[in-house]
Amino acid sequence: MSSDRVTYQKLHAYCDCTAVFAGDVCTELSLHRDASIFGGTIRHYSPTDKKSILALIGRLERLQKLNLRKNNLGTVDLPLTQLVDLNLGSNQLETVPEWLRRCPLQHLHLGANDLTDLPEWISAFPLQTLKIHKNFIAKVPHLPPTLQVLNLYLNEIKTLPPLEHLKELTYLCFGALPLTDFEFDFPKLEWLTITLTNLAELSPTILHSPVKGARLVKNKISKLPAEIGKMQTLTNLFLYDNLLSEVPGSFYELPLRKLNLARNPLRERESLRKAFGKLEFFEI
Amino acid sequence: MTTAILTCRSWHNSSLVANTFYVPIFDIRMPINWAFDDYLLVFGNRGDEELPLEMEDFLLNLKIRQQRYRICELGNYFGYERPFGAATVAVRCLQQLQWELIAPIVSLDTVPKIDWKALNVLR
Repeated sequence: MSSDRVTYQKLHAYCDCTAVFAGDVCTELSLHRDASIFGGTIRHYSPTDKKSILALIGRLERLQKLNLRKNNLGTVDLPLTQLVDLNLGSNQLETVPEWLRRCPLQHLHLGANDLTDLPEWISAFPLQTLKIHKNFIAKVPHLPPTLQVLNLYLNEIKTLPPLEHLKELTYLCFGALPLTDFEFDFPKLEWLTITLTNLAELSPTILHSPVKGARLVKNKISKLPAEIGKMQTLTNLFLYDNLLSEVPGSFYELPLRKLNLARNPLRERESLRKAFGKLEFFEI
Repeated sequence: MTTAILTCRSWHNSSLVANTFYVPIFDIRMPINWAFDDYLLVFGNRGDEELPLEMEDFLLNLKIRQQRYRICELGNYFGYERPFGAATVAVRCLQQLQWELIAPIVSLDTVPKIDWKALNVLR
């Protein structure tokens, strides 16, 4: 039996985990299970047991994908060098592990931790995914232009880092900062979340993006683009708690499946109910 | 029918919400009187749809079975595929003890301000 298989057997005897092998090499490992009560499968293990488990994981030298989400690990020190995809979300991390510098990371999930800082060397990775939401980060280094998924929501950021060069973005999420306007120049953007800002107008530049879903809750939006109806890929639109008193005529041309317009001072509620009342989800 | 609230006094918004109900409030870190007909759990969301640590500890160590309960979780997931956050975790824990959820979960919007009207369904 290969050493990876032996190591995996030991891990499996210790905890609930799943792995993917390529031949005798363990390339993927997960200690997170959505269907489990708390998500992280070793979340309530003792610190000593967690340390032992991490030591075993460290032996899987050719791991490319590792999911340790929601395990409250505190610190994660692993001698791994081939990780491409790493999920360390919800682990009470206070710093970004230095050992990550050795890995050819493309997907990095650090959301819901206690990070105050994102190191500059993050910029050097050809990242496609970067999730750093729900931390305490005040400054974000230059973001790599390879990014497709970016989640910055709920940090200590007061102004957005430069995003104009992120032409590969398909998913963008930010909020809880004093933003008043935002221009869209993301030719591949499909999923957008902007929440808890002072955004007063949804810029017509959004029409250039093939947006499928937009969560624009709890802003100060009082105006939508006149030609919003041209967004023929838009099926999910959440505008809960804004300042809309009316919607443009073309709004009724949107191919929506889900629409939330609750908590807006809208005048034309009846016509909106009539047009959208039978959607899969509708609230006004 | 008698109701009591289970929450943690150190959670600011949860305490604000709990105090608007004219029923006994028990702090989950202290002994609880299990003689009530049902219990309203009031707690916020932490991290990514996670329970506050005190509530997590409380549910992990809970032994009492077959109680009736309702949930008011603070934090709303408008527009997400899953409409609830940490409430899902609490429900899964309590299912194991055969607790009975007797009303739809209330996910209370609290940011930037508390949606007090949404609490009416619990009164």
